[in-house]
Amino acid sequence: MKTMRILVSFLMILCFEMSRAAYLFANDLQIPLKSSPQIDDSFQLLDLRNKLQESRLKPEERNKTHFAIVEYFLKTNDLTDAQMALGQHIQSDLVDITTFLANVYLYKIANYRHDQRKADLLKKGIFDNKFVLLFEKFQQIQFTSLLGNKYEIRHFVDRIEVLLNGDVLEKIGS
Amino acid sequence: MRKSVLRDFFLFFLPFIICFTFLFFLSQFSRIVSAKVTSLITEMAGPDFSLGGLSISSARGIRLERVKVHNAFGFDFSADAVTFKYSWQHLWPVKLAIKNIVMAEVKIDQWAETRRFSLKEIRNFKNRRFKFWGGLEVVLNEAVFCFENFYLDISLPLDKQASRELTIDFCLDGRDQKISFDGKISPDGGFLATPCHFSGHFDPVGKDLLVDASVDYTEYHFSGSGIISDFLGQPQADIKFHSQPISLDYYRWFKTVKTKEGQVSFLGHLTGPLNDLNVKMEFIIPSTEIALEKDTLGLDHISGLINYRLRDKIFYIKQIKAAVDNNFAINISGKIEHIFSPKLELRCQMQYLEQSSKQYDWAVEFQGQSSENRLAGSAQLIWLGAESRQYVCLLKDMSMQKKDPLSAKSDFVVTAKGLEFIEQIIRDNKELPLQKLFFDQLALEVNFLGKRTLIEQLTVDGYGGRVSAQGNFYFNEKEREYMMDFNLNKIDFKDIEVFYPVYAEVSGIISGQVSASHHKGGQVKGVLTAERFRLTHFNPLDKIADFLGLSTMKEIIDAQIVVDFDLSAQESIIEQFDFDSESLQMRSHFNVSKGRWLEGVVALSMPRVTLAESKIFKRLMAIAREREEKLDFLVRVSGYADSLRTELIESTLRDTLKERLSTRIQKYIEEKINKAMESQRN
Repeated sequence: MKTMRILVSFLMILCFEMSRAAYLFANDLQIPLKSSPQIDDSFQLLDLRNKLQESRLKPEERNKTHFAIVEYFLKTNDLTDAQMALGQHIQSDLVDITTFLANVYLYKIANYRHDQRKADLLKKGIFDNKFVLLFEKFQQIQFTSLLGNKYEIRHFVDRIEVLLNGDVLEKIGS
Repeated sequence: MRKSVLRDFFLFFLPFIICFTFLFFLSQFSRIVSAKVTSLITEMAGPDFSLGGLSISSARGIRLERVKVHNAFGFDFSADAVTFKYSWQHLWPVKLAIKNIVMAEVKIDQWAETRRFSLKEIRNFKNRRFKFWGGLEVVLNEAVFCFENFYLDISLPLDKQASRELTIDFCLDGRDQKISFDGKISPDGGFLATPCHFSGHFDPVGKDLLVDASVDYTEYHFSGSGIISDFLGQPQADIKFHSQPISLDYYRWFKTVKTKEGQVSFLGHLTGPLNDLNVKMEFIIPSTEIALEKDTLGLDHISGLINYRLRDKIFYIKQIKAAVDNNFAINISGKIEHIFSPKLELRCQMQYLEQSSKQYDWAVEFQGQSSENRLAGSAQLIWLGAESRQYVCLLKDMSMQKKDPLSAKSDFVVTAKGLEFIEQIIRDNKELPLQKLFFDQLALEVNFLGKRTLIEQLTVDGYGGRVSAQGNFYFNEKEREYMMDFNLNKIDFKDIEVFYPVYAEVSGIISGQVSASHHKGGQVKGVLTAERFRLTHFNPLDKIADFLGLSTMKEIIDAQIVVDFDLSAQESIIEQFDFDSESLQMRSHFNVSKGRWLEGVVALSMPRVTLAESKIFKRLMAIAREREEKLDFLVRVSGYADSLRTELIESTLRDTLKERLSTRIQKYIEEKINKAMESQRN
C-alpha cells in the first residue's frame, strides 16, 4: 500500500515536471534583439539591475534601463520574466516611447499565446493616439535602446508597423 | 283492621313525604342560599358587577345568569350564563374545588379599542383562589374554563374592516403544569369562509412563556413554537412557525393557469413586542408552469421574503425571486401599504441568466396607488447598457388601466403627463448624466398576448413634434426577439446639451424613421434628417477653429443633415452622414466592426471665403494660387471611435502645396497640426 502511494506520488511529480518542461521548451518566440557592445554579456542583467538601484537616475533613464531589462529577458527567450517585467514597465508613471514598445511586446506575446481578449485590449491601448496626415503617408518615430536595438515606429492611418533593427517586428492594424 | 291499613298507608308514603319535605326544605334553603350568595357576590364585587340570577344545583352546579362586569381589564364583560361545576374536597375547612367553568354567549365590548388583556392573567389563572363568607374557600387550580359563543370584537391583520366580531368557542385547561387551549373560530361569512381551528399550550417558566400552537384553516396547517420572554413585564415574542406544503391547486388563479403540479410552503417568524409584532414570512415554490395563450411560462425557484408590521400594517417585500423560462431571473422588492387600497413602492429587477457581470439588465420602479384595474403614480424603466451606461425613462403622473375592464384580453392603456429620458454613466456608484430629454406626454396602448407584448400604438409629444412607434417583443427560453418602428415627426430640439462623445449644444428640427429589431442579434436601422440644424460649443470643432483661425467653424448654423444607418452588434454601417451648411458641406460613409474599429471616408467641401478667414489657410492658398470658390478635401478616418486617425487622401490644394513647399515646411505644418491635436487630447 505504502509502495503504491510512493509510486503514485512519483508519477504525479513526473507528470507535473514534464508538463512544466514542455511549457518552458514551447517558448520559441524568436525576437532578433542585440546585446549591448558596452556591457559584458554575462553580467548584463546584473549591471542593468545595479543601474536601476541608483538613486540619482532620472525617470527617463530609469525607464530606458528597465526597458533594457525587458529586452534582456526577451533576448534570452524568458517569456515569463519578460511578461512580468513588461507588466511592471507599463505601470510606470512616466509614459514615453518605451511604454508604447512595452505594449507592442505584450501584444505580440498575447497573440503568440492566442489570448485574443488581451490582444484586443492592448491593441486599443496602442492605437490610443490620434493624428492627421496631410503630406506624409505615415508618421515616423525612432528610438535606440540601451542595448543598442534600433526601433522604428511607423504610424499609418489604419495600422502601425514596428521595425526592429530594420526588420518588421510587428504589424498592428485593422 | 282500619288502623293497620292506615298505618301501612302512612308507612308506604312516609319516605315520599320525607323526601318531598327534604326537597322542599332544600329548595327553600337553596333559594335562601342563592339569594344570600347573590347579594354577597354583588356586595363583594361592587357596583361594576351585576347578576341576573343564580341557581345552585348538585347536578348542574352553580349557574350565574346574565352576568355583567363593567370595566373588567378595561372592557365590559357580559355573559348569558356562567356555570361552575364543582366538587367538595374537604369537610373542614370547607373547600370548593371548581372543576369546570362554562361561559355561554360571552360578549366583550370595547375590546378593539382597549385590548388591555395582560399575559399576567395566564400566571394568575392557575393559582387563583377565593375565600368567602363562613370560611368557604373556592379553588380554581383544577378548573377547565370553556367559552361557548364568545363574541369578540377584534381587528385582524389583512382585514378590510377596521374591526370584526368573531364567534369563538374555546377551552383553557390549566390542570397540568402547562395551560392548554383548544377551540375554533366560526366562519363569519366574510373574512373566514370555513371554521378556523386552533390548539396549543402555554408553559410558564420563570419570566418566560413557552408557546406551542397549531392553526388549521382550509388547506393551511400551520404549527409553530417559540417563547414570549419577560411575559410579566415587557413581553417580547420569538415564535417560529411553518406550514405543511399546500398544492397550488388551492389558489384559484394558479388552478386556472398552471400546467404543472406545484406546491407552496410557508415559514414564518414572529418577533418583537406583542403590541407591535413583526411577522417575517418566507414562501418557497420549487417549480411550476403557467399556461399563457399559445405558450407556457416556466417558473422555477420561486421564493419570497416578506415582513409585515402589525402596527403600521405595511408589507415590506424584502425579495420575491424567480427564474423565468430558465432565461432570466426576476427580483421584486419594495413595500405595500393598505393592502385593500394599496399604496405601492415596488422595484422589479430582471437579469439575463447568461450575463452575470451586470447587477441587473432591466429594472422597473413604481410608486403610486393601485385600484381595481388601474395603477396610478410614477414609474421608471431602467436599462443597464454596456460600459456602465444607464438609460432611464421616467414617467410622471402615469396611469395604467385595462382598456376594457370586462374583457378577458390583457389590453392596457398607459398615459403619462411627463416623460423624462436620461442617459447616465455610473462611476464610483455615482450617476453622471450624459443626456436628458423631456417630453410633455405619453400615450401607449399595449397588449400582452402570451409571451408576446404588442405595442399597438405609442405616441410621445414634445419639442413641438411627436414620436410615434409600433412594435412587439417576444421572449422565451430559446428566443429573444423584438421589433420596434419609430417615426420622428418634426421634433424641434432647442439647445439640447449633448454630453458624449464630447460636449455640444444642438438645435434643429429632426424627422425620420428608426427601426430597432433583435433576431439572433440586435440591429438599429434608420434615416434621420434635420433642418435648421445648429451646432455650438462642439469642443473638437472649437479647437480646430482656434488653430486654423476660422471663427465661423465654431458655430454651424442652419444646416441640413441626413443620417442613414444600420447598426448591429457584429458590424455597423453608417451609409450616409451628410451635412450641408453655408460654411461646410460633408458627405461621409463609415463602417464600425465588432471590436468598435471604425473605418470611414469623409468628403468635405468648404468655401474659399470661409477658409480665407484663417491666416494660415490664406497664406497656403496664396502659395498654391488657389482660385476655386470651393475647396474639396477627401479624408480617410480610421481607428477606435475615441482616438481616430485622419489622412488627407485627396486635395488639390494639398497637391499644389506639395509641389511648391519644401519637405521641411510640409513636415513643420503637419507637426504643428498634430501638436494642436495632442494638446486637444490632453
